[in-house]
Amino acid sequence: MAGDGNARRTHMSIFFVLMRGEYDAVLHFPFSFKVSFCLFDQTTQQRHIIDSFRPDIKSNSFQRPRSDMNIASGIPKFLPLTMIQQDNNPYVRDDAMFIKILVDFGNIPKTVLPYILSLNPGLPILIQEECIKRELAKRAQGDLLNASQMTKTTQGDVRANENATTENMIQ
Amino acid sequence: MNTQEHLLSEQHQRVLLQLVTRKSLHSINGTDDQQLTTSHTTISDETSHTNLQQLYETLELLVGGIQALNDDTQRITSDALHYQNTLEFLSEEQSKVKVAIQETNSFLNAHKSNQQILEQDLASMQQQIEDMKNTSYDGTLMWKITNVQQKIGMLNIDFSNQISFETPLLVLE
Repeated sequence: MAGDGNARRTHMSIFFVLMRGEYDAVLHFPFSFKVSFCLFDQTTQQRHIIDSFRPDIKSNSFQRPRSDMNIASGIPKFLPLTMIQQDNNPYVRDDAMFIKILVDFGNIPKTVLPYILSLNPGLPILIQEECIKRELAKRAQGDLLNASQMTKTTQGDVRANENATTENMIQ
Repeated sequence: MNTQEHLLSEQHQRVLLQLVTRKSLHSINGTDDQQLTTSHTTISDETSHTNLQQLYETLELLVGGIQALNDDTQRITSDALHYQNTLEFLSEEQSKVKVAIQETNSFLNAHKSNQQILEQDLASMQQQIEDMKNTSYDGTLMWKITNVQQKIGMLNIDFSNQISFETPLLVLE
């Protein structure tokens, strides 16, 4: 992966790559869903590092793969290396890090992401989705009351079936 | 004169009679002569007879010894024959055992390569199971990165390389 010269040896980068799959022929390309990454704060403070990127649908990276793997695309400066090199930092515990990758099929507002990621990952997906729906409704109500913001409509999402893998790179 | 007339002639008959008479006389005298000769030699023969007796006994001893030796030889021969048979049998057995060992060896070799193939299959199946277990189908993926210190450490050792590692599959549905 080309590696960002600016991020080399200073940041942890995180990339997302589409891989060729058996069902590509019936999937919709280019891949257009927002992808979010979250590095978990393993303490109760839950200061997760959350970053997202929206695919550039003109880029070759998100077209139907012609080889085993497309060119990776992602966030070169996901996290300054110093944050995980410090002793007793909340992101590395017992020599392990946890990164959650979320593919957003439903235009979830960026502001809800911290709430989603604070949910217990052990809960069944349906229950998590229910919680998210309720939170969205609550916020929409709050927004209506404030009348300061428009609620974002969730598009009727085109369900896609795609193989992807993310690749993490320290540079 | 033919032969028949000659045989029936008086002269011929007379000559024949004389011959028979003389012959019979001679035979009687001859017997007497023999008896006389035996009696003459009896005394001188007695010593040689005892000598002969001793010789005979010695000879008998020797014969007995030879007999025993013969028996021994025969026994040894039969023993040798027996041993030879045993040896032949054993060498046959040995060649059989050799063949068996060769077969066992080739079998073991085949078994070894089979086992290696099985081990490879097992490893790839393990990998497949691992992949399937870690594959996510709901658009979210929780990725645990272990040995973080080691991975960051690699960065300090080799600055020229990028250190990268991959998540399991995230299948988007």
